[in-house]
Amino acid sequence: MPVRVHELAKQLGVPSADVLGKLRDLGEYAKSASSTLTDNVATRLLTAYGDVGDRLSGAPTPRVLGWNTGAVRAPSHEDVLRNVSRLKQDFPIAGQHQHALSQLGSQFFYAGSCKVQSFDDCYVALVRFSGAIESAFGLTREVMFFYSRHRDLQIRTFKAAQKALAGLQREVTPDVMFFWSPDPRLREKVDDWSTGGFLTIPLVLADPEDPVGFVSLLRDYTYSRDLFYETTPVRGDRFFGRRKLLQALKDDIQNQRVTGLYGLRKAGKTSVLSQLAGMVESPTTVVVLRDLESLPSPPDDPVPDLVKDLRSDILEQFQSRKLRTKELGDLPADASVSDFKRALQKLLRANAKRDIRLVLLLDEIEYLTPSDRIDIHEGNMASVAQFLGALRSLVQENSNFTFVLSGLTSAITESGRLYGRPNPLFSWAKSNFVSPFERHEADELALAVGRRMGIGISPDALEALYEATGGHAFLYRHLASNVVHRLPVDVFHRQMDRVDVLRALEDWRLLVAGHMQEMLDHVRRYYPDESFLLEVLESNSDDFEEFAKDLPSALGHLLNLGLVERSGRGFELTPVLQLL
Amino acid sequence: MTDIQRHIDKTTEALHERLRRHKLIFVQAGAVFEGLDMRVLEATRAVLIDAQALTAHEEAPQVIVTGLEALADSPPGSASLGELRQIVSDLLGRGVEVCLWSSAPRIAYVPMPGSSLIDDASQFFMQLLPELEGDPESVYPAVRISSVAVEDMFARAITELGMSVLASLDRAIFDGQMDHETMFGLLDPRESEALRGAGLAFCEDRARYEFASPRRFNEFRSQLANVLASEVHPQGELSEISQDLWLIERTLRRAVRSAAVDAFGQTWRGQVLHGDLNAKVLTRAMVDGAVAVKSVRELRDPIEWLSLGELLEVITSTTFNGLDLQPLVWTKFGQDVLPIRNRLSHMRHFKHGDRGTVKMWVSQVERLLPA
Repeated sequence: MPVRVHELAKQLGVPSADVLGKLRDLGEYAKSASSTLTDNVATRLLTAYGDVGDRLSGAPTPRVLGWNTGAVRAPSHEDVLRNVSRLKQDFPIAGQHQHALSQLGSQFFYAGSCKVQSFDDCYVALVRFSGAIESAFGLTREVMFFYSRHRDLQIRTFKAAQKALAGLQREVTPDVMFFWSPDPRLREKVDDWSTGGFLTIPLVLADPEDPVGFVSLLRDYTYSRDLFYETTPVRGDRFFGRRKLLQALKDDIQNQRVTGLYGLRKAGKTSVLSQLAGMVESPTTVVVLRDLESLPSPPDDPVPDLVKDLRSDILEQFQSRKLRTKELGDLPADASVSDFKRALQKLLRANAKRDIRLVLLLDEIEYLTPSDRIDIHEGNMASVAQFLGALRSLVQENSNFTFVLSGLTSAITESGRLYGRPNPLFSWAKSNFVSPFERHEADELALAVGRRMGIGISPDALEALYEATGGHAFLYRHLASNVVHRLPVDVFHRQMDRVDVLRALEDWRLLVAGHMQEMLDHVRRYYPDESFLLEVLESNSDDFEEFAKDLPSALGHLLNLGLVERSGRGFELTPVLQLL
Repeated sequence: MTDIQRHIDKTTEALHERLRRHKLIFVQAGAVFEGLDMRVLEATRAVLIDAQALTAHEEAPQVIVTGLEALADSPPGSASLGELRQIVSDLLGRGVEVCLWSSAPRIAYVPMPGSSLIDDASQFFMQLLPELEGDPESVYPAVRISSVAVEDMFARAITELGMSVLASLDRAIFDGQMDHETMFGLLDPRESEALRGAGLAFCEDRARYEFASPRRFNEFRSQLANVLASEVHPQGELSEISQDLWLIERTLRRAVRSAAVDAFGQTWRGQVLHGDLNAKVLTRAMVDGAVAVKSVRELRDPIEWLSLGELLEVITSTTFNGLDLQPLVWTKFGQDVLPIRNRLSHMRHFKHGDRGTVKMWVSQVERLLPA
C-alpha cells in the first residue's frame, strides 16, 4: 500500500526534508513531503534508517530494530588497525566495505594475508556483525571476508578460501564466508562452486558503501539456505536430541554389551551411529562404521565381501594410528571367516597392551540378514551365522572388542535360528530403538536450525509441526523445510507461525505420502506380523488387543518404532500413519 | 524468446534450486518429456555420467546420473543399487550435488531390504507445457517439440510406468470404470506419483491429482489396453507369489481336512462340503479324468477341487465356524488374498503391493493354522 513521505518521516521521527534527502541518496526521487512512495521504495528507505518493521506488508512487528543495534566497538589494538590498513591499501574496496559495515554497527576485527600456500596475495579479514544482524541471521561468531585480486577467478582460489577458513585459529562461523574478487562473473562462479551446506556470499554490491546492500545480500543468501532438509547423516552441530539413547549406547559399548539400534526408515539410525562414533572415538578407541548396503544379498553369499571390507576398514584405522596391524595385514584377500577371526583375535590381543579398543558399527543389517530369511530351515547361507558367531566369540574372548548392529527391527536377535543354524545373537544382544523425537527434542531442533536461517518460530508453530509429524525425524525436518520455503523472502525478519504450518500441510501431505507408503510397504514386505496388526488396528481397532495378545513381539516392535501408541486402555495408530 | 525456451529456462532454474536445497534429487523424465529433457540437461551445465560409470571421485560440484532405469529391474537384493548408494553417499559427503535421472518411476525399482537411494532422493517433477488454445495435446513436450503422435507417446509412457502401476490402472479404469478424475481415488500415493512424474498427471492447488489432458483420456485408455495386452512376460514376483499362494491354499485345505476328520470321522468326505459344492466338485473331478468316480465320497480329497473362494465359504460355514478363528481374519483374508489368487488364475498382472500382501498372509496362515 503506498505511503506518503511525511507519514514515513513521522514514523521515523525525522523531518520530511531528511527523508527527501535520504531518498535522493538512494537514487529515488520524491517531489515533496506529500509525494507517495511505492512499497518497494518505502521498504528501502526504512531499511536505510535501520527500521525493519513490516508496516507496509502487514501489521507492525512488536520489535523494530536498527541494524546497528548492539553495535560492536571499533577495534583499537595497533596490530589490528595496522593490518586492516594494509588490507585497505591492497584492496581499496575493503575500505568501502568497512565504511558500510561501520554504519551497520559492525567492524573488521582481523586482517591478514591468506596463509594457504601460493595464495598469500589474497587477504583474509574477520568481521563481527552488530547484535541485530547476528540475531536476524543466526550468526554467533565472526564471519570471514576473503579478498582475491584475480580477475579470472579459478576454483582453486575458492577452495583456498575454504581451506583458509578451516585453518583459522579463531572462533569463526565455519560455514559462511563473504568473497570478493574483481572477476565480473564472481556471483555466477561462486554460486556454482558453493555446494553442500557451505554458504559463500559474493561481495557484489551496486554500491559497496551502501549498508542496505550488505544486509540485502546477507538476507538473500541466508534465506536461500535450507538447513532443515538433510540428505546425508547428521552429526556434530547438525545433530539434535537423542541424548538418552546415545548415553545408553555409549554405556553398552563401555561395558562391552553387544547392542542393536533399530528404527523405521529415515528415523535417523545412521545419524545416531555417526554421532555415537564421534562420541566414542578417541586415541585408544578405534571405531569402524561399515554400511552393509553394497553387499550382495542372499542367495549370493555376502560374507566374503564383508570380510574383505572389514579387513580394509580396520587396517586403515589402525595404520592411521600407527598401531600394530601385522596379523590382519598378512591375511589373504580371500580369507575365510575363521582366518579373519583368528587374525583379528591376535590383533586385538597385541594391541590390548596399549589399551586399544575396537568398536564395529554395522549399519543396514538387513542386507546381511533379510528378515524374511532369518528363520528359514536349513539354508545355503550358513556363512552369515558363522560370521556373526565369530564376532560373538571375539567379544567373549577379548575385553577390547564389541560391535553394534543397526536395522529396522530387533528380529535379528529374536529368532532362535538363522539360515538354519542356531542364531548366535539370539537373546544375547540388547535392543535400543530410534523412536520419534520427544517434543522438547523436536523444539530444540526447530529453534536452533531456525535461528541459523534467521527464522523465528512461534510456540504454536512448534506445536503444529510436532502434531503433524509425530516427531518422526525425517518428516519433521521435511515439513519444516516446506514451511520455510513458503515464507516470504523480501522481509527482514522471517517468522514461522502456526498458520504457516497449517497452510503448508495439505500440499506437504501429498509430497510425503509416497515416502510413507514406501515406509509401510517396507514393513509389510519384511515384517508380516507387524503389518497384519497394523491392518487390524486400522480397520477394526476394537479387535486389536485380541490379536495383539497372540503377537506380543510384533506389538512391541510397532510400539518401539512409533507406529502404534497406547491410548487410554487401548492402542491407536500414531499421527505418522494418518498421513496416508 | 519462445515460450518453449522460457519453459526450458524455468525448468532448469527450478531444478538447480531444488538441487541446491535438497542435494539429492530424483527426476523422472520419460517419453512425455522427449525433446524437453535433452535441452534441460544441456542447460544445466552439470556433468552427465551414466550410473554404471559413476565413481566416488567425481570432482564436479553437480552431477546428473543417467541410465538409472537399467537398474530398475535388478534382481531383488542385487548389489547394484546398494553400491550406487554408497558411491552417491560419498559424493554427497564431499558436497557434490547429485541428480538421479530416470525414465522409470520410483515405484518401478526393486525394493531394498534396507535404506534405498531412490527413496532417499527428493523427487523433482518436470512441468508440462502451457496448453495452446484448443489444442490439448500441446501440453506434452514430446508432441509439441518432437512431433511425436500422442498415441505413440502414451504407449511409450505407459510402458515406462512398469507393470505393477499398469495393473492398478487396469483395475481403476477398466474394472472400476473410473474416469480421469476418479481413478486417482483408487491408486496408492506412489502410483499417482508415478503418473505425475511421467507427465501424465499433475497436481495444482488443493493438493489433488488431475489427468494432464482430460480430452485425450480415451486415447490414453486405449493405449493402456494395448500395452497390457501386448505384455506377455511374467513379472519378477510371479514365482514367489505363486509359491506363497500355493502354501496358503494347501495349508487351509489341510486345516479343513483335519477339522472335517475330527468332526465326521471316516465319513468326512461326504460331509465336508455343503449345498451345491458336492455336485460342482464331482463334475470338476470327472472332467479332469476321474471318470470312474460316482460320488465325492470316492475322491481322495474333495477339498482339493474347490476354488479358493469356495474353500473360504466352507471354512466360514456354520459347520466349521471359521476354524475357531475370529471372523475378521477370514473377512480380511477374502479381501486381501482372493483378488490376488484370481489375478494368478487368469494370468493377469500383479499390483505393487501383492507380493507383500501374500507374504503377510503366509505368515498368518502358518501361525494360525499350524500342522
